[in-house]
Amino acid sequence: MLVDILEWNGVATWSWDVPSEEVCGICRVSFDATCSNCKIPGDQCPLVVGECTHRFHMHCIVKWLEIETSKNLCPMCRRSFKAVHGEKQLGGSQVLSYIESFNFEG
Amino acid sequence: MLLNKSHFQKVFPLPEIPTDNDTDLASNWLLNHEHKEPTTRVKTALKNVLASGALWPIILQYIEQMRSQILALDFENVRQVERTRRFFMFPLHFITLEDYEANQFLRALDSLLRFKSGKFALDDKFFSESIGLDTTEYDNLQTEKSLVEQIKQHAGIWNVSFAEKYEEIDLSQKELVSLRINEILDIVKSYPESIPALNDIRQFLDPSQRLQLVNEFTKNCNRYLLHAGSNTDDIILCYISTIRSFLIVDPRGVLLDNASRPIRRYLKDRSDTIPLIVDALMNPRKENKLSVLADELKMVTQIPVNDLHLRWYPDPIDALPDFKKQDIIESLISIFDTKEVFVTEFSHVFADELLSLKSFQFYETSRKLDLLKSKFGEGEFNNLDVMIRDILDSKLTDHKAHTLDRSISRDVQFTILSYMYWPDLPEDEFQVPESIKPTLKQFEDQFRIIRPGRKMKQTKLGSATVQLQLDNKTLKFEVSPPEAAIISLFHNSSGLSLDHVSSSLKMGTELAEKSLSYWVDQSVLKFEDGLYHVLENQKDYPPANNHNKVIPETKASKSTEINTNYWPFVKGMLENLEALSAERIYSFLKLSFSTEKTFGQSPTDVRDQLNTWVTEDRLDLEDGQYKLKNFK
Amino acid sequence: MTTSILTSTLQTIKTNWQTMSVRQRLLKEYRTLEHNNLDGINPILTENLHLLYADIKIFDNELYQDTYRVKIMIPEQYPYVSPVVIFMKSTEDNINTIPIHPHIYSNGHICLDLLGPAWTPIQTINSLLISLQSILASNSRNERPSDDEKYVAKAPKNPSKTRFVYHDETI
Repeated sequence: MLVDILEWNGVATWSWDVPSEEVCGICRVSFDATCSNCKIPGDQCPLVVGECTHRFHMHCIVKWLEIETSKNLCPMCRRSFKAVHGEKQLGGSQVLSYIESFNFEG
Repeated sequence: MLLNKSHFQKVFPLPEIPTDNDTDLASNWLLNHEHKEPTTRVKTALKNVLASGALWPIILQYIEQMRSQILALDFENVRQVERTRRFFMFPLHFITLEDYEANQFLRALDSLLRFKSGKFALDDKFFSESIGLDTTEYDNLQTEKSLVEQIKQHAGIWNVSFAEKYEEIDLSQKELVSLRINEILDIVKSYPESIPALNDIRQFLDPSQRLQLVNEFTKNCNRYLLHAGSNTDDIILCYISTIRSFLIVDPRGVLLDNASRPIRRYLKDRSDTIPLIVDALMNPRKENKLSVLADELKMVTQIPVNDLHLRWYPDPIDALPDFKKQDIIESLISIFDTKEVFVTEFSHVFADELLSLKSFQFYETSRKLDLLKSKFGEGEFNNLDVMIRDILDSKLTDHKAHTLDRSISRDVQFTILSYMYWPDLPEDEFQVPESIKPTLKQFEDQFRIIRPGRKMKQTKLGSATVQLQLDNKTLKFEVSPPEAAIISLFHNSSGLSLDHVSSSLKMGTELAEKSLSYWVDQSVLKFEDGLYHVLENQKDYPPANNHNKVIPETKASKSTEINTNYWPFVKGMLENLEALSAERIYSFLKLSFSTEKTFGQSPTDVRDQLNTWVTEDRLDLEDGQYKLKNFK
Repeated sequence: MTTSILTSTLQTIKTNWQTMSVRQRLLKEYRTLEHNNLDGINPILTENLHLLYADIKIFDNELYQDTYRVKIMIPEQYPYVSPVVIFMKSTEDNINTIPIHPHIYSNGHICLDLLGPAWTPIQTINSLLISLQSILASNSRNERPSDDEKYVAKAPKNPSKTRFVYHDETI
């Protein structure tokens, strides 16, 4: 018997490329859902990875970095938080520039 | 006090005073006369006692006895009353009482009779007069009685108003309402034809009858509607009519609150209430009994919010949108403690609907969602928003991926879901067919570019069209991805074991076995000596219809499916509801398995299977209702 | 990337923050608190999502034989800003002492860097309570802060208004 697949309508799920059990340390919500302020997951509520490898919902970490007492430190390791570029970047490109704006100030 | 002999002798020392004997004789006869004439001796005694003035105390005793005897009687008709009266009057033929004494006696007798004889004593004018009734009252009653008779003729006629006819006759109004109260459940069920009757009730309902109306309605609901034999959709329909009807009778909704309570309680406990409501809201087909709900849903946007005001006697149809209570859908939602149950059900139906939209025609679904939000509240449907968004995003992603890499076959498409927001996504894993793998890889690469930082994971949902080229035939099937993956393993190959299939596709054995048996049912594979073989020569086997692009599943396979998958469900259903028609079992199954796209059974399939179970002695069939064998 | 995009991003983020809700995280934390049953820590939730109490017991330290109570007030900006935590007495529940500790003032205010500059949003009420329990358990100095009298006389009601000097990291 010869088998030909003529059409394929697959249904897949997406998730951020991070360990599956991990939640955002700030809002305690899964990365695959949104921060407590967003409704739609994905590009509208992207993740940010620091050079220290710690990850957060972009909205969560940005809000933290905006607060004076944060001193631009990563909430996890208290090292200076610098977002990672390139391959490991999660989500849209605007995010990084925004994060960078803090790094300049800091 | 009864005077004794010595007493008399002291006061009236005369020879004609009654002897002990006279008093005894007189009182004995009077108290036990049995409607028999006194003997001459007794007559003399009576005369003596009367003359001595000692009779009255005996009469008082007689009255006392009469009182207790009459009170113990239950009259069934006027004749009995008359006879009783004659009986107790009887002694008066032989005793001449003073006027005032006679009056006192008669007053006592007649008031007792009036008290005990109730309304039918009035049937006879003369008799009524004789027991002291004013005959004008009697005459009025006769007129009214004929009106009552007339009103009885209106029983069952609800599409006409009688308000004008009885505008000025209080009793008829009350009588008409009494009649309607007895008919109330049927009147409600006949809404909207019964609107005139409901208006009559509103106009004439006496405050004293309000409780009676509610009681009669709830009593009849419990007796005739709220039991295992009623279909849930009928109960929901009746609930809707109840809302509309009772708001006509009492626009403030007080009666409605009380009248609808038992139905609400009952619907809350019926497991299929929510699926039925959700189905009706989502799939507005004409033949759906509850299609009125879909109409209601559409209506919502047309009601200006600032137009809400209370009217005491609204014109029924115009008034409907005026009240929160009149919002049928909100009222149904409020039966349940939380909206969550609805939202869960909706997300199942949405999931089903969205995933079956091959061409991404989600506009309809999106519009429905907006309508639902207006009823349930914006916040409740975030999941559904995400679901719709996923479908939209998938379309964009798919388009982009195919644009960026034009070598990706147009015949391969993906829908990519945010897994945390979809209900019950199956977790089975498996590898896509070898022939799809390169394309999938290309697509995934593009996905990573379009959606940076994210990865994709296949589910077993979706569909695939496969073409099988056998020795003497070419067949086409539309199947699930795991079924497609499995049959692809038999490309130029045959005689594979379940273990081999499940390990080479990294597929759970349960899913592998299920998918393999699909192909066995299609007569493409056969199972022999622990191995699955391709049936190259299709001639020897019952023909699968190879003229159609998509081959319908054979009856045999469906039957097996109902048999294995649905028997526990049907059993549970009948354990709870005792007896059900084939149609109801079908609609239950359809609703309950609506999340699985596999429920492609027709009502006839289901009926056939039910009948098979009857022949297998699992079920009994009585009057079109299926019951469990030996079910008590 | 142009300035306008940056501005618009900023705009979106700013607007969203105003509606940012702590509710979800607090509910999660409370669920954990109720299920975790930490040894010697007994959380007392109130109807107010932003207020709770906790009774703390210390084991194996002669200095702390009583049960102590802290009042925990959760600010709107939580978890970006630390909760306000003070020790308190409750005659009703027979909690009569503020633990004596070089960093705990007699009015119940606590000089703990975790409640100030060392706070980060990954801390939780749970971790905070454990820290409080451990600074008591590990303490051997039976004394109040040296400036206790002066501080208590002038202290604002809300200790977060105080600028503590956190110099002793060892306690």
